[in-house]
Amino acid sequence: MIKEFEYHAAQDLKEALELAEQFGPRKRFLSGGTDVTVRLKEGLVTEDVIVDLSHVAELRFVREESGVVHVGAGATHADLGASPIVRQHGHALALAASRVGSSQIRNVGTVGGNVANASPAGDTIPALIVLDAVVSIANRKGTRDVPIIDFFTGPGRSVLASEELVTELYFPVTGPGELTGFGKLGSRQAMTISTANMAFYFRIGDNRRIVEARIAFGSVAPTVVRAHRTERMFCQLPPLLSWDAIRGAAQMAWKEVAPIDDLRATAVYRKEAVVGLLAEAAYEALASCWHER
Amino acid sequence: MDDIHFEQVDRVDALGKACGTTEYMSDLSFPGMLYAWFVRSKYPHALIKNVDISRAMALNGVVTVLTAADVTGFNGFGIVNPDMPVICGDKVRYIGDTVALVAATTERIAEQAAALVDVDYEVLPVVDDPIEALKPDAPKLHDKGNVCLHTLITKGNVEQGFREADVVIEHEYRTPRQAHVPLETESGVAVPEADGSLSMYAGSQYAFRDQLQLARILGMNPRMIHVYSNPVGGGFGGKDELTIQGGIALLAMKTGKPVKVFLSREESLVSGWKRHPFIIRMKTGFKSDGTMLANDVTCYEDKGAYTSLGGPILNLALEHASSLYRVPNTRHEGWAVFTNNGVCGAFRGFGVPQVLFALESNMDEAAEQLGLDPVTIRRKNVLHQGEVSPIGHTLRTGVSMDLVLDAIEKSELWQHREEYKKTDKPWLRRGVALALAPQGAGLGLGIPDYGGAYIDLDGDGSFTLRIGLVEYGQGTHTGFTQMAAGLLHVHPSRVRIVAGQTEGSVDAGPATASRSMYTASNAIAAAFRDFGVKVAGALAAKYHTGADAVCEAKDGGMTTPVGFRTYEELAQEFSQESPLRWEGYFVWPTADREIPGAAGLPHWIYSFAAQAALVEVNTLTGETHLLRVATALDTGHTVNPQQVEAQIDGGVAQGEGFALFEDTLISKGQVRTRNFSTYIIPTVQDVPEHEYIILENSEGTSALGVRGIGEVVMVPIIPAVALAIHDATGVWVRQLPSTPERVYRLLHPGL
Repeated sequence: MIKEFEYHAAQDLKEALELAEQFGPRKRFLSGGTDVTVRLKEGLVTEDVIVDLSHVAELRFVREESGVVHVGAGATHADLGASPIVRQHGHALALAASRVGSSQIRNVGTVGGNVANASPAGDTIPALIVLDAVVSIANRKGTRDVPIIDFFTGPGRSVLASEELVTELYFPVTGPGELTGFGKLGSRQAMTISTANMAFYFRIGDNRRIVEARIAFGSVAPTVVRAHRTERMFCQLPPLLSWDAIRGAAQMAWKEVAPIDDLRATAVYRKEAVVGLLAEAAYEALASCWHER
Repeated sequence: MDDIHFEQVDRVDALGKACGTTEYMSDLSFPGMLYAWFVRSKYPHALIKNVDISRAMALNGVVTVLTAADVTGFNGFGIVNPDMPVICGDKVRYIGDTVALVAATTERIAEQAAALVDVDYEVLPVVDDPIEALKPDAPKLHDKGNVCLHTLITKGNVEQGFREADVVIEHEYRTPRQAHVPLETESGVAVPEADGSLSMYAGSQYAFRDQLQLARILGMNPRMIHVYSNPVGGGFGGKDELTIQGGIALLAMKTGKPVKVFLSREESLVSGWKRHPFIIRMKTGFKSDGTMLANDVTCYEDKGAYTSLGGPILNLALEHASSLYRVPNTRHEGWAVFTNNGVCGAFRGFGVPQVLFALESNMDEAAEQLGLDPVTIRRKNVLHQGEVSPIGHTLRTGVSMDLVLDAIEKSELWQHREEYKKTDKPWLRRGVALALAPQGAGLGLGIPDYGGAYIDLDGDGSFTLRIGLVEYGQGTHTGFTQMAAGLLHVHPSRVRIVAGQTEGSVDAGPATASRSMYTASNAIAAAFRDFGVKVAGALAAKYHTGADAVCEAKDGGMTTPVGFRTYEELAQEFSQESPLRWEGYFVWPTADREIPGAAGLPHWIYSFAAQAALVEVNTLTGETHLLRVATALDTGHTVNPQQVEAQIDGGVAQGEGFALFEDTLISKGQVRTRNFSTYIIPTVQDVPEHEYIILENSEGTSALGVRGIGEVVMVPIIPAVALAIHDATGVWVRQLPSTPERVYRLLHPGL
């Protein structure tokens, strides 16, 4: 049974921040509602005030300015998947957004909600991490910026204070010589919570070697995690397209994740699967610039 | 009659369903209607010490709360054995058992009141393993013990067969607890009428049996109970047995108000019927040329808490445990065992998918060991009409095992399988495999299996076809009108259908067991013959044309001894006659003797299909995608090609779900997969490309040559997917569903 609660639909950002301050920890934000409504049905929402952000039009944008991509918290997954800016300058994010739920969910679910929700299985989060995104946070008095890697403190937990709201995510554009990708393992092709997910960023140097790598895994630790040792393995690869070498580098991921058993999969299988997700996506991406001996 | 050529027509219910104007029973509302809530058990196995309804009754808006003492008739239901209480009085046996019923002015109040019903339980140990449950010291669910049914069928001497065999394949297989998940969950409205009767509006698969079961529960004359069960928003067997009807009937009669319930998906998945999981131990012996010599099978059927159709399902599984292959020595043993793992009942396929997964797997493994290809080994063993089945009865009706096998061998997918299996990704493997299946149709021996139909000539010269069989999505009502129209020589749009209700339609048995189209073909043809006889008789009486006058349908009317009459003219000519109704009745042909020790066996008429599957396995993650399927199906005589393809599409999706995704996970009696984020069914993105090969080997016992196809189209796909995984990767899948983790672990046994 869905419990009774107080409902406020904020009409603009100012009102949303005022409501956030007024109700503090008693309130829960609802953006697309794809998560909150499910939790309401399951009796998992402890707050007794819902502040609906879906009418706050000023949070729904995607734009590029001076080499930086700015994504409004209210941009939907469908917006990201279809945006030429995101597809070109943050490919992994476009891929991740396109793998969220179903068309119906992507049409209402937002990137801000996905981040603020802080689920270790959130699909856009690993992509935002490897793009070195920054989270813009506002309260009624002002704003602050937090690198996304520092944003999450545990499953469902973040540095957001109760009167604060995620307003935007921004990251530097990627260009020629930079490869990004995303992979997801679920229980079927669509409408599936990630059993494990993964994103990577590779910068290819003049010698065609990977000179900078960022790799992140989801659903295999209390928060989405960076895999620094695996990144170093990829930076040591000779610039030759070798399945065995790429899979060998990806193998290091085994050491960098700490999954648990749940209904979807066991921990030991998740460790194996993230290795596979990375190897497969990295091989496909590197095939565009490396060749077999 | 079986030379009628049927044109493709649109479904009679297409417009209403596409536009959302079709009224399902769950869409209905009545003035003063109350809402029911079923108070479900807190424990999977417990004694009920006391039920206190005082707090619930005190809640504003609650009209009544019923406990077991309030059941006016017999407190139990079940198609075979009515051992499932409508409201449990002394004991609960699964987590969906009903301990009290609430009726209130709103659904919300009813749900709130349900939480206020205080039940004292004495918790009992949970019985959750059918093999453990057979042990003498296992806790007992029922007074008579945990064995619901034990069946043993033997032919020849299996030990002798194994001694002569060159290859013996022996394995244990496990199959999932598949849920039906119709779009419309269990739902309906019970309406007490002014004359003291009760109208039950609830989608189900057999209105006339619901009527009798409700009469028993209420302690009322069945004539005082009117059941309207059509249309149904999906059934698949899950609405063959009663679901919510008994509860809302009791509430309606107690309160004198209409009472509605519409289960949430979560409540449906916890409380509803499921497919029986099977543990199958199968040992199969072959000669070096592939000839089958012996098959020794033991099945353990996880029955869940109550009987329902668990016995007939076990027996149909045992009938098919050696398929229709020529096996001289067989031993088919089965145990249907009560557990606290929910409740299981009828489900499309009715035990056959479970055993054929095992048998077709043993078959391919033998072929591989003997260096034979999958078609050759099957061709060597398929039976033909006139031969003796593996359980000892002679196959007197048409057998199409060889035809569907030949057709699937010629399919584009099988012919070009080596090209389909190519992939340029080092981590992907593709495989192709095939399987074939017979599926016994109808209710079997010893169970009255009949069908009636009425054809009414309406005043405007159009027709009303009255038949009990419901439409739950199969497309049968379109088929029925086509068959009637074909016989009458009119366009199908001239035939209206009234079905699935005890008032205004006639009993034609349950819409189950691949029997609707076949039953209707003979019942409608019988009514049509009655039509010709009666028209001729009436004309003879009026025009003194002589008693042996003959009428034949032709071009929108009939040729009669007094000349051609259109149906409009006939309707006007006999407008004083009452009623202008023609009746047809048909009884299924059955075997002349029962298989000893196996109630209901054998079946007499079979459906046949063969399917080939192309899968792609990601060896890094174990993910398996079903990419392409070819189906060779014998329809006997196709009435509506589009509906045949639609049945194949749906059957393949449901079989794919069984093979790759679906399982109701229950641990210690508690359902863990309570919604669609954990109970995984295929979406449109998961279903394959299809190649349809339709054969028409007329079924001689149908007036129109038709066979049922609804079940068999989901059966061979299940072993075909498992065997295609083997073809792709080399591992044998023994447990379904074949989830990514299961496949990965097969690929990496050390994990």
